[in-house]
Amino acid sequence: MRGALSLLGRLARHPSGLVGLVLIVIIVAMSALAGFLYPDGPWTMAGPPRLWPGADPRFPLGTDTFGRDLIPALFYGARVSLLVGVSAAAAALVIGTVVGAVAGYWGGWVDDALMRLTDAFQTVPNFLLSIAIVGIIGASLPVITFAIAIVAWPMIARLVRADVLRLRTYDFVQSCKIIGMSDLRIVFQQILPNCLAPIIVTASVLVANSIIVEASLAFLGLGDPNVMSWGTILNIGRQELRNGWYLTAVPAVALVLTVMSLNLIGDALNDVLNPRLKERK
Amino acid sequence: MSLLHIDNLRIGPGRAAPIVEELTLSVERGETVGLVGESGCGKSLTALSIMGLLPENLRVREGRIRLEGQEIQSLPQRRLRHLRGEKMGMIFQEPLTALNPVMSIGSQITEVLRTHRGLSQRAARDRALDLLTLVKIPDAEARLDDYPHQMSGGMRQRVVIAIALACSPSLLIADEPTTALDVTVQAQILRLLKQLQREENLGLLFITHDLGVVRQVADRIVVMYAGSVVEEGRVDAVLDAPRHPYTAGLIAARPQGSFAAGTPRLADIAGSVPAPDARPDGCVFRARCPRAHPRCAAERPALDRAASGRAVRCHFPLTEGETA
Repeated sequence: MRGALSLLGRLARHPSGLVGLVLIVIIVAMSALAGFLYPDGPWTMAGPPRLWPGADPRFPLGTDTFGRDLIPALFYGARVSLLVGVSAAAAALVIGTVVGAVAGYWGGWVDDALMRLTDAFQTVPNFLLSIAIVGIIGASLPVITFAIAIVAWPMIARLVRADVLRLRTYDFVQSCKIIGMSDLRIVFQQILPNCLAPIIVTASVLVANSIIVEASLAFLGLGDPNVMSWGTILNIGRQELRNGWYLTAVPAVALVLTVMSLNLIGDALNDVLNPRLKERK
Repeated sequence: MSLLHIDNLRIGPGRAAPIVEELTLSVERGETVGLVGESGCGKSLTALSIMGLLPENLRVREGRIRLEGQEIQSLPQRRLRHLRGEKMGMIFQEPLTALNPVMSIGSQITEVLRTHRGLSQRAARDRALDLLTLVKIPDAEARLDDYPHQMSGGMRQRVVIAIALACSPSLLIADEPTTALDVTVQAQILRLLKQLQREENLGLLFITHDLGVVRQVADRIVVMYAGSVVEEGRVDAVLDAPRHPYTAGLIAARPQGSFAAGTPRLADIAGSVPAPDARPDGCVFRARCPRAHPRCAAERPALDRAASGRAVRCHFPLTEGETA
């Protein structure tokens, strides 16, 4: 806990980390306050349709083709984006870490089998596989999350495997065996904490990536029809692109800012967690 | 019953030439045995085989390793894990990599205690404190929460020793524990090891290539060459009057401890240790031996044990006062 707090502190002192943190705090606040500020939800038709931003002070960002206010849509959309982004990234992280650690530590046929499986996933174009999964099983948030996670874990698996391969030759691993520690404990308790830095950095990028994929799916009409996500607004805006481009621009800006903030945090984490850079300062 | 008894050990990959062969060795309680030899002669492999930690491609092909009369190689992994740490500990050459860089040294010591003794967090921490004091780390209480990179090499090696001793094992294997340290720290660590050994009545298998270190710490010395024992005996007896030409060569190759003009150039033993698959028939040392004889090529000498505990593997051993 103390470690996490000090990491946050160090992140806030990093210029791009600070920008990223501020942005992500705003987005998290948006999703947290959505239900409180707009108890009616994002679907209510509150005003005239196709209202341009600024045209009516009651709807600063305008309304969509059904007269739904875009501000609550953005707030509720932040919820969905963050939820899908974080849970898909977490799932990919867990699968990838376990596969990578097991493959790297035990080696031999276990490694071969797991790595060929990883290769198999990587040969299929990621987004197409996600589309296929959502298309076949049906569009709901859990399925979308699963479809995103299932294409994202191989990258983590490779990363973790490479690090574990390097670390397992260290004497401290031998020492752990010598004091009679079991292999499972050695891998997950002793080796994994040593590869945390690259995992954390990749995680932030992974969240950003998952948010983009979710929005892309919704844009193609493969979003969960029961929830308002930024991709849903994009999908509505697609049909209005010629005369109402603001409908596309508003959620797009939100997406860009979110993804950018996560990437900035990723960059900052990379610097902050790199012990060599820390010493140079 | 010896604490550790290795009998006719042979280690090697599948069908290829063995790396260690005909290795017989024992360590008694409270005794320090110095295992000496050039790099690549199989010292470290011997240590790893005792721990049951040989690399995957190597295996014990023949022979027995017994710890307190119990055969180690036939034990299932679970039992073996229990023996490690509890009955035997090991110290490595490189204190830099022997500790986990992301864990505080306190938690690395308590780890062992909690694994084997099931101690509570508190009790384990108290014992860790005792151990750090035992290995003479000043201000142990404050050091418990330090990370390895905050300590010097000598301090880290003390922590490694503390971890090895945490469960009061009866056998300690030290694989060149002072090679990576500078000379003054080396002396401190050796003194510490010696003292701990006396206090805890440890059997200590001390692996090194430094004869000076062996003379300081060991009771008995076992000299290995190309995978097997060539000479064995009490330290003073062997070092004062070596019988195997290889041992004599090693002693002659020591620096004299002087930079003065006229100090003779370092002697060396011509040639190098043959690779395991290139070991000649007959005596493996004969290509480098000044006393080689046709019989040495024809017949591999056996390890000839005398009643005094002295053993030598040579057809034509040196006699008292003779030099190679």
